[in-house]
Amino acid sequence: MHSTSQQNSHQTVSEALLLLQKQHALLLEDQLAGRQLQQQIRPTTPWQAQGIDFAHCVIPALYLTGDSLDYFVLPDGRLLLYLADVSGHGTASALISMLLKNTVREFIFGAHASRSDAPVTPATVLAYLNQRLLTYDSDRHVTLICAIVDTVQNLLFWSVAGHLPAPVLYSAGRAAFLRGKGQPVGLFEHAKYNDEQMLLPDAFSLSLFSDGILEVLPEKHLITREAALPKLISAAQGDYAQIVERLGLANCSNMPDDIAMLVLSRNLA
Amino acid sequence: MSDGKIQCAEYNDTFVLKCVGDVRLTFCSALNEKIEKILKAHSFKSIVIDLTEVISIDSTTLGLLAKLSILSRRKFGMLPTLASTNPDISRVLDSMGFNQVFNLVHTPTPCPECLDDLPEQDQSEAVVKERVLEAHHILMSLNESNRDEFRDLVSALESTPS
Repeated sequence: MHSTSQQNSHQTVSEALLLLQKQHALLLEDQLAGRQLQQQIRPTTPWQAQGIDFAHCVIPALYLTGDSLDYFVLPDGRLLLYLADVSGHGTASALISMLLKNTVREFIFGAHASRSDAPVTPATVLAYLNQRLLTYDSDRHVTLICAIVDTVQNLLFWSVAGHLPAPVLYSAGRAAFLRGKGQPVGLFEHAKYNDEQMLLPDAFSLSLFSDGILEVLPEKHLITREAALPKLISAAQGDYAQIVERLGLANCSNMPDDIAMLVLSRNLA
Repeated sequence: MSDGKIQCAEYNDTFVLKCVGDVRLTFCSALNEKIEKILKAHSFKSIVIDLTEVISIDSTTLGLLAKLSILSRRKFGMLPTLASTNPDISRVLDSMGFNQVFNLVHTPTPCPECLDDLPEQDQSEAVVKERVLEAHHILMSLNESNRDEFRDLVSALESTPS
């Protein structure tokens, strides 16, 4: 009697284990499919337009990531790019990041866009994203940097929404953070975003990161890690491959946070 | 939750939220509701948030603080007072533009002269300054002698049946 019930319970345990294993495999498959879709939806890398080279990498903390980026040619011929970091991790953040891409493209190419006479600026993109995200009431906000490159006038426009670290511009052997700040999108109804602009040097690189990058730097504090970033980019002479190498991104896995990096460059030696 | 803690205390008419250590949140909306419930159940006059013992803070917790700012402005006509003395944390708050939605204090002790740059709110400047100073005094006295007043919000959340 006793042994039979023991046998039964053994059987139930092993059945339960089998079921768990099956469910785990299914979940894993599901996550991997999501990861692949996220990869497919990102823009081509490397990519070139109007003499500017674009290259990026995204490293999810687990499978899915709330870090996202995009770049494309605007209807008026200028180049738009952004790098965004959705608060939190995992599936919900990843879903918001996908929504983000669609919302930006809808703002630029949608029916609303063709009716508007005012030219798109990075700040108008951020203001639109802020309003759209607030309507979803998702308990998730997004920090991002949005920029527009005008190769005809040779100008860079950008706007920052609560994002850390700031973009790093490398030119003539020196690297420095770009100015600018604003609140994240999806938190405050009355958030204001400012456009910054500068003349683009003939030879330069511009690097954008999500804050996960700060975790791979060896310094102890956030402030010292932040300060180390332009130094590293300077030592890498602004070159994408060298930055990836110096940060050790090729071997990154199981990071505490998602990592995203986008570098655009022109005429680098 | 990792090595961090989120605690709260009520002191006179002030609701005190205290974060300690490496604060990482995974269930923001539940905590949001819990805090809103506490605020509804009492007649507080102001909210004060203590980040002076925080080592690092994640984006989800920052989102929670932002919600508190909106709630406080709606309920009390003024923004919460937020104390931060760790330069790393102050850097993050600054990058998020939180100086516009909190009365930030960066000194370990209350300092009337440091309150000249507070954001505009519905209450008069004099009232806001007075409340911020008072809140800062409350934080100090709680931290010095009355640590028991704090209860852990997250464990309270986990033990409440949903």
